[in-house]
Formats: sequence, structure tokens, C-alpha cells
Amino acid sequence: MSTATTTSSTGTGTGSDPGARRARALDAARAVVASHPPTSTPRRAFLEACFDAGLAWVHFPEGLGGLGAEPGVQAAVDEILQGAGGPIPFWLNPMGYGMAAPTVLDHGSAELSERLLRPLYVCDELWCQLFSEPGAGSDLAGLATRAEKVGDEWVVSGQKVWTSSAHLARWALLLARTDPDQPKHRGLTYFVLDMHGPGVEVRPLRQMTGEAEFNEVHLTEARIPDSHRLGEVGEGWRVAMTTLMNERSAIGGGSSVRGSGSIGSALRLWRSRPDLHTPELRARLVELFARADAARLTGDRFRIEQGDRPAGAEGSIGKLTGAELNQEVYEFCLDVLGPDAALYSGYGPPDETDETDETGGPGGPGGEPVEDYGRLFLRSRANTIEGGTSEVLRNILGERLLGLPGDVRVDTGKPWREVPRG
Amino acid sequence: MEFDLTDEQRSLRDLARSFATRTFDETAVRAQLDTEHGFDRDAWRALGTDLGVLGLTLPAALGGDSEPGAPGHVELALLAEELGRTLAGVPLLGTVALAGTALSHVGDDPGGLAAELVGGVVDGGTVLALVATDARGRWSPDTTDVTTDGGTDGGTDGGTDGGTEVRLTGTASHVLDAAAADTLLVLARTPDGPRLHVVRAGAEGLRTTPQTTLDQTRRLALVRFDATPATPIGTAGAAAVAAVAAARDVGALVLAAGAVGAGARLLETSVEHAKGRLQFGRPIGSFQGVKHRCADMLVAVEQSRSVTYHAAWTLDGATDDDPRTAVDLATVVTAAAFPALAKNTVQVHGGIGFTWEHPTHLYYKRAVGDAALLGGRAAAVERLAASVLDAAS
Repeated sequence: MSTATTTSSTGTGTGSDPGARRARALDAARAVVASHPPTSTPRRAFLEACFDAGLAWVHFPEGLGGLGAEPGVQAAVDEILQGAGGPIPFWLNPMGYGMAAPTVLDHGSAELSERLLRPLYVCDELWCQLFSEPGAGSDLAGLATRAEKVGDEWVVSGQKVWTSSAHLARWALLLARTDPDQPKHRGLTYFVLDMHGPGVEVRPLRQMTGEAEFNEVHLTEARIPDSHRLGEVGEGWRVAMTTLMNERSAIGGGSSVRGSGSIGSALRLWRSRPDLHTPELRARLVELFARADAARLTGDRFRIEQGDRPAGAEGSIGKLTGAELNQEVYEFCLDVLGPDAALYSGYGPPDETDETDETGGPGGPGGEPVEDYGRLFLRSRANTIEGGTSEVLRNILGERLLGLPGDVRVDTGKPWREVPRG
Repeated sequence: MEFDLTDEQRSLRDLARSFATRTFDETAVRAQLDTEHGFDRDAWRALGTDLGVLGLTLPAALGGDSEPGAPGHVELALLAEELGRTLAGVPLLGTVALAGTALSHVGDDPGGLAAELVGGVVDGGTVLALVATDARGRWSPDTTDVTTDGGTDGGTDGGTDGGTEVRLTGTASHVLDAAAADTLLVLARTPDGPRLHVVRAGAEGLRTTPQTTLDQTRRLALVRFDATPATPIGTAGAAAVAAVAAARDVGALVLAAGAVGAGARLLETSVEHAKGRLQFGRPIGSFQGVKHRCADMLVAVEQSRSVTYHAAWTLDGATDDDPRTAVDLATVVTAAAFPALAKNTVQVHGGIGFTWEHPTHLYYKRAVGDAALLGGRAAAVERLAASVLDAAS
């Protein structure tokens, strides 16, 4: 099976109107499910068939994993693919599927998209994101990793942190400072970094669950060809914003299947342990269910209302509510478990033979939750920090969506090198 | 497709917003607080005759605009949302959503009584009240305290042949718009089970006593029947209970939609205040304590809108969900979100938000009052739990 080579710009694919494009996408999904039944087809072959049929990101151009359809069509396509037992691509390659792909498509060259998107989708090449640094968390724009142009290459040095899947990733989205004399937002540039290149050292970072899902990445004169730059020099912040909005939409958008995700885990636990039911727990669970369903429906509604417009700050609503809900749902699960909440599945090194969590993401091979409630409970503590803290997200909602004034700032307009850090 | 409004639906929303904004500014809303019935008959007539939006969910067979291909609940929700924004004083909930829906479900209408009443509703000439609460105001077809004597004027009513006059005796409390209603639709116990009855205002032995309500924009009354002449309508038993349950579903949709509109208005007011009010030399909205409260209000409004529209689309048969579960979800979410939005609005406004002069208390009282109607949030939580937790997986 070969990669198609025709391309067309987003939203204007073959098929004259949105309805026809939708119908074509749904037909294609049914055809793939029929020709490559996901329950009996190797995962990679199934994903290849999906990509080549334009079902990876239906709003992408043809030949690059899409059909030029409206983004809202993806949910219906996923329902067909995943309903037949197909994997949830987001969980297989979260940084790649949700964040790298749209950024490369929007800001990279056509050649770069041709090279990167298909291996990304079929999981030959996993992705990670080199954004956060020890000195730049919520204030991401204050980051200190330097990239200097030497000939046709960029030479990069610095330290990144909280990088999930860095030890597995072939490619990284990298944000680095190219001009320290500009105010912090204006001196950044965005790159695609080859994680297998020289000068890239990955060190695992152990977290409270006992696992090392994240890494520190030390860059020592790592080299990046200028053709792997996304967007203009000094435009890195703007490019990063589209990535982050896609990240928050991807995290917050979640599944549109009722009773999936963390609330699905809680419902399964509830049904499997009638011996532990109490009226108080039942009342809590139904309230959690209502909140989860309200969040799910809001994601569905935003996707439809968004149509073919780019992802916006609305995605922050889903990320914010999903993160806080996850924590409360797993707190609920531990309360249901009673005495078993005091036990843990183990802090030892992960079982090498267990391949259910090879991506390091919080899901099994098909994206189904691993029903290890203690671990999920501990893991959810990070939900309100990673991908934008809840505090930052509430600022975004207040300032971008509601138009409230920003807080008083002491770094505005100052060259980055003069801003206090620590 | 769910959540995808048609151009016609958008036009209806714009029409409703322009009508509500024009007709129900704050002065007009406050003027109704001191009137006998709490709403404006002229505005009601205008909604029926000028805008033609009162028959959206009432069946075409009875003179409404609802047909199988266009059931109209999404449109009704959009209308209720816009009327809710301004706290418009109109009896949409009691007359259209509750009594109108119950009349739509009576089945055979040999005497043409349902058609006559629905016709009056559609043109805005008639105000109806559905009496389905017991003597303590509890919403419950099972405990209705009104009974029929089984028929007078020579005819006993076996519960099937409509049109024969009977007499009702008993008490119902917390009846929405009962004092203003031209006609009451009364759920009463009969030997054959609960049955709906039509009672005209001014009928012998009918006494309505207005109750002082927390929310002055919705009026409740105590209704006493003392051998009051009534005409049975529809069949007795499960069908009547189902008609009242359907009425509650549509009523709950209207309440939820009103909460969406009112909540959105509260958010706008709060944001406007947070931008313009200066303390410590800066707009208070630049402080995260205030900003984050506003962000949470935004989340509450958006989630309320999602569950409410989902309920509307589901009542229209456009999703795979169970309609009652979708409505109960909308109640559970909005009946918590709306009071929270109002409380946050008071807090963001500080002292001014506690005054009588500021409109926030009107919204706060609407939120609290609405959450107590139709069985309240607690009953919806219980039904939702039974549906999603107790049902076999």
C-alpha cells in the first residue's frame, strides 16, 4: 500500500459540499473496517489502511491522512473505527497524533509533512514535546534552552523536563530561544528535533506512582537542519500556541462515547462491587456521572460548533474540567475500594513482559483504562498541572474568552536576559 | 445533527432575543413584581399572534405546529433560553410546557376539548395551569389529594367516556399560575386511577389563594376544590400518569433552558462589572480570585447549554439516548449551575449585588425557586441514579 501523493488544502477536498465530504468519510471508514477488521488485523496494518483512506485526521489534505472534510466529522469516523474495535490513535502516540501532526501540517514544509505524518500515525515513530524546563513551567515563554544558527544548521543546548515518552520517541517538538535580547515571547523559534541525533541525552524522571513516565532531556550542541524549523525565526511562541490549543483540545476533547474514560472505570468498579455500595457513595457517583456527561457533551458541542475553524481557547474548558473530574473520580474509586485502598500494585520496576502500556500513556493498547485504581489515583494528581495548570487555564478562560484584563506583569517589554529567573 | 442549529433555528433565537430584550427590560420586569399575576398578558398574546412561537411543541392535530418531522423541542428550548435571559414575565412554563404537553398526550379528544384549549394557547389568548401537586405542593401523580365523586348530573363516569361532568374535591398547593389561569387542567384520583380534568376559572367551589413566593417572577397558588364541576379528558390510569410525566419532562427542559439564558446573562453582568470596577487601582477582574470565579461561571454556562440542548435534541428523537434520562441530566446540571452562577454574581458585585436595586437578586431567586419546581433537583438526581447506576450494565 502506498502513500497517496495528491494534496489539497484543508476543507476543500474532493466532494462538493460538507455533506458529501462527510458521507465520503463515513463510507471510507466503513470500507476500512470491512477490508481490515480491526479485531483480526495487526494494529499497524489497520492504521496504515486508515491513514491511506484519509481517516487519520479527516480535515487534513488528501494524501496526508485526511480527506479535506470538516473536523467535526472525525467523531463520527472514530465511532465507526473504534466501534469495530480499532485503537484510539491519540493514546498510541499522544504528542504525535494530537499535537505534532497539526503543527507540522500548518507550519512545516510539504516535504516535512510527507516525511513525518504517516510514520507518526502508524506509530513507527513516536513523538515527544520538549517545552517545559526546570526554570520554565507555567511561564513557558521564559525558557532558556538556546538555539544558535551555524550555517544551515541550528545548534541547541539546554535542559528540558517532564517529557513523556522521550525515551521512546524518534521526534520531538522543540521550543528554543533564538534571540535573548528580545522580550521573552519574541525570541523563540519552533523546531522538529531528531531524538536519535548526537547531543540528545534522555534521563528518566521517577514520579509518585513509582513509574518513570516522564524524562529529563539534556541537549548538548544537538543539531537541527533549518528545514526542520516550523514557522519563522522568532515566531515560535505563536506556533506553540496552536500546538498547546490542540493539546488542550485533544486532552479535553476526550471520547464522545458515553461512560468511557475515568467515569467508565468508576462505573465498572461500582457494578463489580455491590458489596461496597453505600447511599453516600451512590449519591457521589451520580453527581460525578452528571459532571462527566456534561463535559462530554460540551466537547461534542464545541467540536460541531467549531466546524472547520481552528482549535481555540474553548479547548481549555475541556482540559480544565476533565482534569479536576479525573481526580475526583479516582478519589471516589479509592473510597469505594475501602480496605483495598490501602494496598498498591507495586513500586518496583515495570514488568518488561507487560506491553499494555508501551506508550507510557495512561491507557492500554486500545486506549481502555488499566484498572489499577491506586495507580490511576496517584497519576491523576498531575492532571491539573500537566498541559497547563488549572490556574493558567482559568486565566486563559478569563482573559481570552471573557476579555478580563491580565494581571499586573513585571516582565513585559523587557529583554529576556534582564528578567529575573529562579 | 445534534448541536448543529439550522438557519431557521438561529432566526427563531434572534427573533426571541430581540422580542425579549425589547419587551422585558429591567423596568418592565420589575413592574410585573407588583401585579396580581406576575406577567404581562399583552406580551403573551404578542408571542402567540405576532411571533407565532407558542405552538412549537403542540401537535398540529390540535392546532399547534409540532409534527413528527419537526417536533419542536430544540426551538422551544431556544425560545425559553432567550426569555430566561431577561426573566421575561410570560407563562411559557405553566401554559405551554406543562398544561400544553399534558393536553398533547390525552389521546382521543371526542369533544374537541383539547383542541379548543390548545388553540387558545397557540394564539396567546389562554393561560392554563396544570394541577399535579398534592396538598403540600409535592409533584407526584401518586399522592394527588384531589378526588372525583365519580360523576353527577345523572352520569357516572367509568373513566373512558369523556365529556361527562364530574365534581372534584380536594386541595393542591404550589400550583404555577393557578390564580391567573383561565382554565385548570387537574390530575385527580378516580376509581379507575388518576385522570386529567378540565376546570374553568370561576367554577363553583373553586378557590385559588395566591402564595407568597421567594421568586416574585413566578406565581404559585393554593387551589381548593369543593364539589367543583369538571370535565374529564383523556383516559384514566397509566395514560394520565404518562401525560403528566411527559409534561414534567418538557417543563424541565424549559426550566433548564431558562437557566442557560439567565446564567449567560449573569456571566455577562459579572464580567462587565469585573472589567469596570476598580479597587487597589486596577480592575477587580485582573485579580485571579475574581477572574477564576468568572472562568468557573463560563464553564457552568457552557456545560448547562450542552446538557440542555442535548435534552432538547433527545426529546426530538435526534439522539440515541433515553429522553427522560437526558432531561434529568439537564435538571441535575442546571439546577446546580444556575444558583451557583447567581451566587457568584452576587460575590463578584460585592455590596451592590446584595441590594434590592441591583437585578441580581431577581435572578438568584429565580434560580432557587426553579430548582424547587417539578419535584426538584433531588428527584431528578434519584431518577438519574436509577437509570445509569442501578440499571443492569
